Amino acid sequence: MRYHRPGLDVAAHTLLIIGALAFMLPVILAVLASTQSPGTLFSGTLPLSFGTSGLDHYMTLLTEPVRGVGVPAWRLMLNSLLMALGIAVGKLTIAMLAAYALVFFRFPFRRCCFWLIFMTLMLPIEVRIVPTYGVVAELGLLDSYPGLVLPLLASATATFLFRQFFLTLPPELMEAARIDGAGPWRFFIDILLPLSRTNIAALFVIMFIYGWNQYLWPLVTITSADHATLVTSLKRLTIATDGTPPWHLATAMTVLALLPPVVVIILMQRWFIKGLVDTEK
Amino acid sequence: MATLELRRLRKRYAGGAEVLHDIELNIDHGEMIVVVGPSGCGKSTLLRMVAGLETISSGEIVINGECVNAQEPAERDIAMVFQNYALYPHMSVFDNLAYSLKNRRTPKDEISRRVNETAQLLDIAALLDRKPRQLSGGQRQRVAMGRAVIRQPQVFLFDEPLSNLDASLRVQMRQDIRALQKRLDITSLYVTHDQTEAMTMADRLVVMNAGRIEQIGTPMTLFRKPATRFVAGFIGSPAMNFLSGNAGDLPGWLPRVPEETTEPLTGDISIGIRPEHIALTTPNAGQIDGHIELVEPLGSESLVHVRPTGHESRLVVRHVGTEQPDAGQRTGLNLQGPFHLFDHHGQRLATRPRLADTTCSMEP
Ligand SMILES: Nc1ncnc2c1ncn2[C@@H]1O[C@H](COP(=O)(O)OP(=O)(O)OP(=O)(O)O)[C@@H](O)[C@H]1O
Ligand SMILES: [Mg+2]
Repeated sequence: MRYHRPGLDVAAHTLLIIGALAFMLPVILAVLASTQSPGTLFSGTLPLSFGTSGLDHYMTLLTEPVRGVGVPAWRLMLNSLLMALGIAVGKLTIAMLAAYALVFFRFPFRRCCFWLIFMTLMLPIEVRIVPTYGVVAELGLLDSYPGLVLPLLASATATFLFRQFFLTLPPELMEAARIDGAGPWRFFIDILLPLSRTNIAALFVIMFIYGWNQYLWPLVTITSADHATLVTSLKRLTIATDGTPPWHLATAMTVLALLPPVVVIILMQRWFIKGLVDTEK
Repeated sequence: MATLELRRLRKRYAGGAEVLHDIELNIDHGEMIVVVGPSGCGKSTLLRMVAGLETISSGEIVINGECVNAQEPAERDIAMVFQNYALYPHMSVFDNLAYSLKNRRTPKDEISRRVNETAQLLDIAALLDRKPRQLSGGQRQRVAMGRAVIRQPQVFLFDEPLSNLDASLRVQMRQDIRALQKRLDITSLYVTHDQTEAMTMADRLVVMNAGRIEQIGTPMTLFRKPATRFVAGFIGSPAMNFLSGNAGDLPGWLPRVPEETTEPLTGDISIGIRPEHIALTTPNAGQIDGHIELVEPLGSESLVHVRPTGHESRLVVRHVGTEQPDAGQRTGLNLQGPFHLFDHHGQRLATRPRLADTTCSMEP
């Protein structure tokens, strides 16, 4: 929709700019703070300009073991990245396959399955953390990548969204593919997957950020520095030393923690827009 | 080239009533069979069962002498054109056409040769790089046809392929499909609810009603000798007029119901008269007079709705010529025959009515 009213444009832009600033301000402050020398930060006032330390704190974090954790930040980022990618890819795969089965196949207790999946929406990891811990411990997966990722894989939300999308496709599409000699897998790969591009891109971003920001589960299951994630380590960094926390490092690490999700959003945004611009149907 | 036989085919949907009852149909090599009937009579169900998309409750589907009940759609060597075309939206026209060949592991150069051949045949060669959404309705229809043609299947199945097109395109496409089908000589089953489409395209016509076949025959056979009252009313446009009444008690102005019926006429019967077999004359010159209630001009002819004096029901008369009678006028009606007689079950009575004059009364 587009109205030709200059007043409306000005008002809309003012609101947008205020909103954007409100979101950006903490980020800007963190970026600025991460370039200040420790002394400036402890003085109590935060100057609104870049400090003298430049990228020194980042270099420290990335090259030297992080205090209170024991491995450099690049290792923490790698662990977080593996976890986030594992969760996002795993969730999308499982959700798509589950939705595929629910929409395109007739099998006993289909509706029942759907409602069971749907009900797990009410059981986030926080609620089931004790039994989940038990299961992961039994499997001997504590303090490992699989143990980190597996319990977070199933996603009722993504299954539900894919199901709704598949339901909008004409059933004749599958019938035409069947007549054209495509089996269930071929249909999934050749037709459903490309048609779901936009949905996949959108959900990937959401799931990646969800995985990247996981806090409670890694905190509980990960004990060694080798598998520690960035977000949980941030907390350790700030409580590790006696006296004042190293805020200059903490702010730098916060900025590091921001980077991968931002990169993912920027990359995926192209896909969204492409998907939205040439609407298929 | 193939034969297709349907033997005592039945379909019952899970938890539903039976929608097809004992369908028997034999289709010859290269024959175009058009199945026509009102909405919900089971045409699509029948087609989808032949395609293998719907399970068979009982009976057999036989292609080329081989029962295909247990075969997957792809194994039956059929091709289907859907009403909404069901083109793959994300694939170019080329890939849409090529998809079935790719799935059958056809070599690349043969695929491109056959796609180009088919595109030429259907006049869509210029569109090969486009996506379906960049095509007009008629072009999509052609691509859907191409997707069916490219594999040179044993049997073509069409489910109302033209109903999403505008009237003039529909006329064009039905000629094209007919020509293509004859040229490729592929046995076809074509479903429509449009009786003009059915009449013009069919080698033989199958009229269905409520899950049963009412009659099978060439379009003209069905038009001249409808086996049931349903077929009589369904085939021909405008629809046949029906007068019903007791056999022993028919209206005097009606041309007398024949003596030549094989059995004496009893009970309630219907007499069918096509609109083109009634002529308007000056008042008192025909068998009965009436009031013109409505005139629908169609150009070269008009449909004149006349209420015979003293009767409730209206008769539609096909009046050829550009000059139109006025509504409200009195007119004479000349009923010329042939007439079609149906018993109270709607079955045709074997007879040839003759003009005569008995007295009777007519019920609306
Ligand atoms: N999946 C289904 N489950 C239950 N009943 C069905 C199903 N599909 C169709 N029917 C019923 O079967 C009957 C025949 O349907 P069908 O689609 O074959 O009709 P049709 O002759 O193709 O009608 P139209 O001209 O409107 O397409 C209808 O009464 C319909 O309600
Ligand atoms: Mg139908």
